[in-house]
Amino acid sequence: MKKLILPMLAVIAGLAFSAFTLPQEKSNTANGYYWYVVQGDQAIPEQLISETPISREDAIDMSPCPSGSGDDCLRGFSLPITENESSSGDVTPVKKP
Amino acid sequence: MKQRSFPSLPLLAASFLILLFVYTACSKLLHASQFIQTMRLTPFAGRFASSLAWMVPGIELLISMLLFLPSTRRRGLFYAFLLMLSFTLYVGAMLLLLPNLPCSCGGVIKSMGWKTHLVFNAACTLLAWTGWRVSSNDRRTSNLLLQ
Repeated sequence: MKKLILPMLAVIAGLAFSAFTLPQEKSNTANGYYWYVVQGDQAIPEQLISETPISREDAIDMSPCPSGSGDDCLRGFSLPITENESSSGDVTPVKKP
Repeated sequence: MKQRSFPSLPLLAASFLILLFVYTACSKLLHASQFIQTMRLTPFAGRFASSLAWMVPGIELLISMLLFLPSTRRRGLFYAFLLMLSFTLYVGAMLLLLPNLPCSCGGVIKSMGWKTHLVFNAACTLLAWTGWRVSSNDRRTSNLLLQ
């Protein structure tokens, strides 16, 4: 029985931690966007920066834009895209400096 | 005088790995749609994303059950070692090939960078291997004592 106490505590802790991290991730969804790197004139689904919605500032931190002509560098969408997207997204795009 | 006994290394390793697997498996299952979406982006798993999204947490929970029971703990530690080794190789490959892609991991582990994740996985792999080796040696010693 003694040999089961520690594993039992581990199971309970694992379940508890996974339950408590849920609300925090949900709150991110309300404030953020799915950000994609723009290639040419299109946002590319494979170039998703973070699988959870994140703020504009976090997107810039995670994928710094190379200097360029002021073209779009990152575009944010409310929902994940599955195909190349030429629209400017659901929020003001991040431009190349 | 009553001697105070400390938990053995295999028991500690098994308990930590149970915590890790139960936590990450439940997080993946609770966010199944996000997990599938990220898996689709990875070149190695793209086609099998949906199947893998259920299989990976399923295997983690199965190994947790093996680790939980004293009679199957040694086998559980070996399978945990194999699983962590495969995760470590996957993270290593992602770090080399596609460092910009998000991690399809469970819970707070996905907020680690790829490099931190690689070190964490390597440490867990080493822990599982050490636990398995120690429990194998303990078993051999007790068999010799019985003979």
